[in-house]
Amino acid sequence: MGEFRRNKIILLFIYLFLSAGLILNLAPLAWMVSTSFKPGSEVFRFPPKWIPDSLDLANYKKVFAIIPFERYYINSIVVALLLTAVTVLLCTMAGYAFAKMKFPGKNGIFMLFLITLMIPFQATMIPLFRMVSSFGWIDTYQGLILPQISTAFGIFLIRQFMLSMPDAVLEAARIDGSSQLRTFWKIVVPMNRGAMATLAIFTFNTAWNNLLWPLLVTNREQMRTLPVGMALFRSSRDIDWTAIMAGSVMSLIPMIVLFLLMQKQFIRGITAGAVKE
Amino acid sequence: MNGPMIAGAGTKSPSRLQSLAKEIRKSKEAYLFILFPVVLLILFSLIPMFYGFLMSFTNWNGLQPAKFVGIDNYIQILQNKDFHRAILNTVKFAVVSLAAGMSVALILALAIDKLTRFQSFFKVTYFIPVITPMVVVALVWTLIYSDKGLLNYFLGFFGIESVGWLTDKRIAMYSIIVTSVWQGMGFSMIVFLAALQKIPDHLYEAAKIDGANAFQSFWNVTLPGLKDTLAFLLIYGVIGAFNVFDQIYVMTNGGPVKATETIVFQIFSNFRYLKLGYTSALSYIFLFMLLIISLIQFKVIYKKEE
Repeated sequence: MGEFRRNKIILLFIYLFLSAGLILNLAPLAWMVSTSFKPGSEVFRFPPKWIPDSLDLANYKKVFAIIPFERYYINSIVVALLLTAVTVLLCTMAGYAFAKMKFPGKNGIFMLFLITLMIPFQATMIPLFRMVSSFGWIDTYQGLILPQISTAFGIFLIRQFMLSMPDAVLEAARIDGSSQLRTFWKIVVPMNRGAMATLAIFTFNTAWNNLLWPLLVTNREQMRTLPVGMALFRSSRDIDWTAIMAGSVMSLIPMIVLFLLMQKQFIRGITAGAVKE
Repeated sequence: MNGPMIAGAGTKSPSRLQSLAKEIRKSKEAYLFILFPVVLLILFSLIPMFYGFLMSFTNWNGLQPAKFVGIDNYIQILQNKDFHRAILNTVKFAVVSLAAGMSVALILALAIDKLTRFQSFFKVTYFIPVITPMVVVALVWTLIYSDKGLLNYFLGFFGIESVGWLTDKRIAMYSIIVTSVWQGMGFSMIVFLAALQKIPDHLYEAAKIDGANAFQSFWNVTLPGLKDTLAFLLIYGVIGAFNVFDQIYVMTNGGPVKATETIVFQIFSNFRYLKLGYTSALSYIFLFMLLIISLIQFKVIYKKEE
């Protein structure tokens, strides 16, 4: 009985420790939300005020007045959605080919993809930028999206899932005279929805957060994405912290909503490649 | 598969070539499935790589025609004090943020693993900073670190003088590290948790029967069970840390007096001054450093799969 009691006390301590940690962990985000509702004069008030007087949306309206925030938002959504759709489609098709089809050169081409997995984007971005600008793609959606499609990781991930798909099903479809494309669409895609969702979340999250590439290939304010717009908003004029925090809250909302709706897939998506199922 | 492509290319009999051609024709559909990724790979990875390699031997500045300068750029970089400092800063960022981040994440994972209720609540809530865009994270922390910000208020509360969290060159890098650890630790925590839950219970029971105390069973059962995960996270983290850019761009812009300038930031700022040849060489040195790290990563993963 003594051990049982001791374990209970230890457990209580763990709960206390984790709860205290949680408060510290969420404090910066709480401060962001709190500041976004304050008048500018109260940002650095002593002592700090955690609960704003009112849920005044003035700062939120101000963001749209000072910068073309709605354009940043639309650009971010367009770029992240298109990038995700294209990446998932291409990686699923190629992942299927590398997992289940036979063709000359298969292993060599697959190795090539694996090798590019080791090359960080930062190392090739300058020549890539010169190419994109010579195509006349600065300040365009194709410039924002096309060079950012990286399929190596996705192909690798999807192929891993598909290797465990039973051959018998595919064999049966082939005997029935179904074309590869039809088999892919009718059988392979429905059977691998989980893996595709994982890749989709991973890609969407990366695209939504990306700063460096959109920073390089956009000059016009109208073409900036949220991270670029927000980063330059801070450095451009007298710092208006209440407006910056309101903009920050709004850029975070889609991620929070998606996360709360599908926590499991989200965690799997972001840790894809790190956690083995 | 690469047998017929490479082995004895010169001595191939016509019939073997014909059968290969036939096989390729037969595989038309398969090639269609990989066509676009291969085109994108060539266009946006391989060509820029070769292009960058060629540029790194020139003095190109984007305006005048490029002139071949041999390995001058590489020599200049390796002798440049700014480059040495950028390497030191990057290594400092990587070592401190990984050591701190992994320790905190492991402690959290061990604690959450013990819980009987609310386990997924804690897991999910500690994960929220991970899904917060880095630019947003950096903006919030810049506000917290500002002269009259929240952190200096707390110091003042205890009678301690204000600190220039982002303006003191001895402290700025550590402030950025704290922010990065805050953003990233939820990721490692989840990975640790998954690994912890895979350690079979009977190992703990056996240790208990052998009379092991809590620390001994952690040392002899838990830690060996986490070895692969730890190695994986370390190498994964080193690569992430070497690529650090967003928080530095937003919080300090490399300052004060270049105290937070990392390698990627230096690539970015040299590029801004249109030193294209020089920047390409810098990118190649960076690439080479990361390739070495990645090779170690591959070794670890392959060892894991065997």
